[in-house]
Amino acid sequence: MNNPPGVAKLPRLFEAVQWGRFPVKNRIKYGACCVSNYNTRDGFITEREVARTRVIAATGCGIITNQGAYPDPRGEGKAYFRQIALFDDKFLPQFERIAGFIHEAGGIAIQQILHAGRYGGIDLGYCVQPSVVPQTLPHFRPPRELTREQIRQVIREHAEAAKRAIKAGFDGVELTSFMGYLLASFNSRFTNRRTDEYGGSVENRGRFMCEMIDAIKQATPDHALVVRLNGTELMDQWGGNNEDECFELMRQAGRCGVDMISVTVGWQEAPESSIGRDIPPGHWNYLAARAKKLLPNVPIAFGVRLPDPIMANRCIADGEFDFWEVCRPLLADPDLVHKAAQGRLDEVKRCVGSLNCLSRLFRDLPYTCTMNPALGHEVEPEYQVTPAAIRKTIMIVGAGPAGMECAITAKRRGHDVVVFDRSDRIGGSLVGYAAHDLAHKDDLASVVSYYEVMAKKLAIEVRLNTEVSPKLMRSLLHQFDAAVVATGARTDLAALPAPETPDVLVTAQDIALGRVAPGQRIVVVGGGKIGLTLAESLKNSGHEVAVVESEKRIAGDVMPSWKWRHMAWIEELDIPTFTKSRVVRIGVDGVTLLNGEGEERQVPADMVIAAAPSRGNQELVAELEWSIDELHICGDCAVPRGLTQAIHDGYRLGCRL
Amino acid sequence: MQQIDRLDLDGWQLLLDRSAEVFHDIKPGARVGVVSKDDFEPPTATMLVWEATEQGMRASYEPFPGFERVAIDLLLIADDPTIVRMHNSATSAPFAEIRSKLRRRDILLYVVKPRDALIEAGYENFLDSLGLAVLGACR
Repeated sequence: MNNPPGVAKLPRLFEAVQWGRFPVKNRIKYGACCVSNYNTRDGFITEREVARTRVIAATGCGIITNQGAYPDPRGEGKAYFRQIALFDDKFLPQFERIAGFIHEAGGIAIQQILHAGRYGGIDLGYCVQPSVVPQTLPHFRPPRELTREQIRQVIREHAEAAKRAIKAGFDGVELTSFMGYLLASFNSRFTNRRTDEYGGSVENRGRFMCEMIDAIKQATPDHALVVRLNGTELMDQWGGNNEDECFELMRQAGRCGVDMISVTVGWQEAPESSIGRDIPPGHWNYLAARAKKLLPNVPIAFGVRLPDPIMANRCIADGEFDFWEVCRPLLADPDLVHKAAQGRLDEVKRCVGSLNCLSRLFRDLPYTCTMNPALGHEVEPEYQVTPAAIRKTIMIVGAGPAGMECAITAKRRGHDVVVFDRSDRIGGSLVGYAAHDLAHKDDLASVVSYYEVMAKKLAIEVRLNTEVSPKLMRSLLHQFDAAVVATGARTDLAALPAPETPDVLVTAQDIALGRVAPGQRIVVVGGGKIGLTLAESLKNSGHEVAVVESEKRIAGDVMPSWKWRHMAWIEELDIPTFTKSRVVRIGVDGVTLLNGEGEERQVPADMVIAAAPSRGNQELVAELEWSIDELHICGDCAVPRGLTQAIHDGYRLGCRL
Repeated sequence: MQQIDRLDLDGWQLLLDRSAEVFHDIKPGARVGVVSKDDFEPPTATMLVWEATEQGMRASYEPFPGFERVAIDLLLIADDPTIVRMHNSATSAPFAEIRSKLRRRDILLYVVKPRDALIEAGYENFLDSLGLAVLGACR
């Protein structure tokens, strides 16, 4: 039988290999990068999780790692409110189901054991660490030092959890020592200040890990053991391990007989980004290559900020690592591996590094994905793309993310769909904002190209350069059963004072889409994500820029895990920000601001870009209300919020039309 | 290394007085410590303390007893040049500089007290102004 076309292009990625006694169908490992928070507060796996895990099992990965379970009955290892537990046999039935799904799909099943250490004890008033080193982030628990007896107990509990995972049918377990979790906090000089045999030299700091590996190997001698270890902590500035020490710890793990090392990057407390889209893909690959060179006989898995299967195939071919470890890209598109195998990479919904997943987790919410609205809702029929009961002809006004997501979903359900947009291309305002993104522009631009590709492949008729006037719509309405208004949002210029010179006041959309050339001295009104994105981009290209924000702080609508990034860029680019201020006059030479204390300030400018406030373009709604059987509204047109909500709104509407 | 207590308290008091808005909500008894990155080993290290009183924030020095016994809520650790710059208040907005250095981890902030205790003591606005959100609905 011939291989699918993509397999020939990515031969190393898709080659079957032997891993110890386990035959693995390809070199792709599903990484347990996040805890889902879909489970019960007392550690039991829910049907929501089971349904999600069925999807994970079907991703096509050769090795699949189930998300981390905490191993202790006290909950000291518990990092997330709805994390799964594995400290008792009472949890086994659901684990057995999950191992079964993975095996049915032809995968090797690995269960991660996650004792969060410094970041644990979420239901308790403390966390445990090798030494008392206070937290640097306010939402974690104050530390208690583990005694030697407690260390031995923790090791026993890990070994028992490992045995339990094997009993449930898993082929092996994974210990996670990165991000600052328990094992990492013993390994690191930053948190390990012990003076006994578990502290001091790198050999002593690694003793806890070595004893843990030994205990698990003894408890589960015929099964695989993977250890995740930092290639870099990004904490060395404050006394954490440098890269040499990280690799010395890897050498220790290798000597202890681990069956695979998964190389990771950074701690939660680290001052640098490791997985956001501000990091170029492939940036950390050198760490995997160093690990492979150091331990040529230990399989190395790697995937930090490596979202591209073509790059992964090349790295494997070059001997940089053995398995591509991938998680977030598979949250965004669970069919990524199948699409790669079939040579359909242009149909992949790429992870855009928005960090919506992590932002949600750090708000104690279940994780979701900007690009995949069905993530976490797999158990709900309302999120399934099922054949439509009645085939309809649907008009969608607006080819931005909300409209296109709705169009694609509705078309897949069997509806006939026509999309109208007044501009000359698909993507709406996102086209412009992607071009101004100071991070990796390609990520946001990939959302637009995905919609372009899918419109073509699904034969969705898209009528561009078509002004959606009420007159035109009325002439077309008899042809359609339903209309969706997804016309996005615009800046409400009426909320600002009238300019004293014409053309000095423009909208963010006009600048983003290149309809108006920017001035040299610019005031951006609105310090949210749109205003900041434009301000950063314009300053970066040589314009003088200031930002005015009516709230106390800028970046109020930015994803929590991305907020620091904008704040840092604003500082690095030396962009002045005037908070608690509003524009009271737009004059010939600049603007007059009034702050919360009633003080006025003049800011010179030859152009004012209005990026706030926004309002939905809802005019068509009233026009169409009595003209068509079904009328719907979605995305920023309903309430201006942004890309994630636009995509989710469009998908959900497409599922129920 | 330069002992932190060689810097006169009047300079620290000036910084606190000029930054009253940052400390506005903090209740009397709340304490923020500052130690040098180059010397925070007890018993020799000295800690600068900013303590909230009924009359506002007050600066003082005391020995740093180590992480386990230190009686403060938050602990800032910075290198000597940064501490000297903070003391001299060369900038008109010293806390903007602290926020910037915190983000780059040129200054490290240790959160000694639990989150709930910090909120109770009125630190939410202070932490927010340093760019450290008190995250989580329940944490």
